[in-house]
Amino acid sequence: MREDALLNRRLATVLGWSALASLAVLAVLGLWVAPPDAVQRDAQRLMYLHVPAAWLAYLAFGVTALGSALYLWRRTRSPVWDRIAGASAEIGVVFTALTLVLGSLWGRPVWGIWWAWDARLVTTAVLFFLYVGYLALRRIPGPGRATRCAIAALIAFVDVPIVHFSVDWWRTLHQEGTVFNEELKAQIHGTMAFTLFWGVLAFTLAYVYLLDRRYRLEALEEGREERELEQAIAERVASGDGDGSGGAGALVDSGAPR
Amino acid sequence: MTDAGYVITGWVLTAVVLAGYWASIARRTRRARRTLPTDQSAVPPGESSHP
Amino acid sequence: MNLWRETALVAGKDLRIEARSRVTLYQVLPFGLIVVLLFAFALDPSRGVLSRVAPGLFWVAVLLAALLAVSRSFQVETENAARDGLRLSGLDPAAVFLGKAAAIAVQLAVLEVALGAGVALLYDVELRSLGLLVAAAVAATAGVAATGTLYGVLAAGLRVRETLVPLLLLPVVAPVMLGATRAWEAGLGSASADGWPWVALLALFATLYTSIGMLAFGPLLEEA
Repeated sequence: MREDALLNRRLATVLGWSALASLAVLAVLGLWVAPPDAVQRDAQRLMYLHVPAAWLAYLAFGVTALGSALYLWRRTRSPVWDRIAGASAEIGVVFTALTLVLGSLWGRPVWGIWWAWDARLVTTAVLFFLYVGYLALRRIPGPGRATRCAIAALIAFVDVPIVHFSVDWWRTLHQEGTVFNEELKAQIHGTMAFTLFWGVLAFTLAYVYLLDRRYRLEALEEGREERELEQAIAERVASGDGDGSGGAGALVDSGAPR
Repeated sequence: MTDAGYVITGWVLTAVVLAGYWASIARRTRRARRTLPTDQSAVPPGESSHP
Repeated sequence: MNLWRETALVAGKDLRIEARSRVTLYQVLPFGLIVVLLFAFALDPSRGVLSRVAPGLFWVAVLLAALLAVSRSFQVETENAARDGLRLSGLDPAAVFLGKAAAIAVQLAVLEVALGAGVALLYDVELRSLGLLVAAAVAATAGVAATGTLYGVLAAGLRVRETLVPLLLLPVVAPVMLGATRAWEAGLGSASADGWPWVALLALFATLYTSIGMLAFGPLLEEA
């Protein structure tokens, strides 16, 4: 039985190995080749993970939103888009959590803080919870799942820029522009810039590969629920034929109040 | 913890998370494939599905 | 029937149910007041902390009460296959959305007046720029009611509705929390001019989510 996937087997394998190789190269670049920062010294090296992870956290969410929109639009409606949306969301929540943790690990040695209430961090934290809500919704089976999830994804998606804008405005009004914010905007050149770019590239390869694999799983699991349901119905029918009292089982009222 | 400590923690954590997540997908895929029907006779569903 | 008549019809139905059952009045409102009281236990009233953070606490209490109001609004639709009735009634789904959201908003408004009085009394704050406070409250309430109704119908037929809606709703209304609190800080303090831009943000949010709600309610009601 040919499985449903986004990429063909060979391409997926090549992609997987490429992603792994480029991540290994990133480690060499980030931990060894790139020089320590003038101000942040070695702690800077976490940036080569944190920024690509953040990029992916948002990219994955964009893909979920896009998939949701394409699913809802009648002309492009297809379970493929629903699966892409769902798959990308799970990958996204992983990368969002990673982004937040790496951000704390980076912030602590450099600025002495585990957390800061700036627009980027707060929006990423909100993004995490938006993902968690979406995934909770996704676990609920039923015929309406794809539509429910798609609409929920879009509701959440339009919220993200509003959150970012409002927090940003709030912080600038309070003039909380600390050294933290200024340094984040600092320019980086040369090997450091290349390493950062490489990081984004490596993570993106990993994302596409994981998306394909997660998509396959989504397709398999969908089918599984249907198959298990058919199986259960077949068994019920088979047992009901020989058993006059009806195989539905006595539905005893447990008496539990609603 | 020294600066290097934070850096190593971050990189190791990232590697563990990525590898772990990939492994999680692989494990769930294997389990899902096992419940595929072979020929016409349906393979009985495996252990109860995920919570 | 046009959109507004249908909206009024649905809102009237929900408000009549409330008038007869008095759930919002006798359960949700006391809940809100208890939350206001609990904050005082958590923070020290004697050191002036409460009056400083009063706007934030007020809006947290309103938001928590709103969760109950939304839950109640869709609870009434689960009995006697009322949802099927709504679907088959021939009413424009956008009107059903607006009607339910309006009913929630009215109930929240009553809550806010009561909680606002509670906060003013217990936390010792003065309501200075009433216009700003009311404008912000109207816009914030509209935004919360619209978004709450949207998630309410999304989760309407689901068994885990009670735990799911808070998880879905709260992150999305974070900007409302932010804007409403900032506007009220300005309204209770001296720099009231700072509050009006936040009211604009709240109005934008309310408009956006009302529009989304009018579009999405139909498909969601079908699936519920």
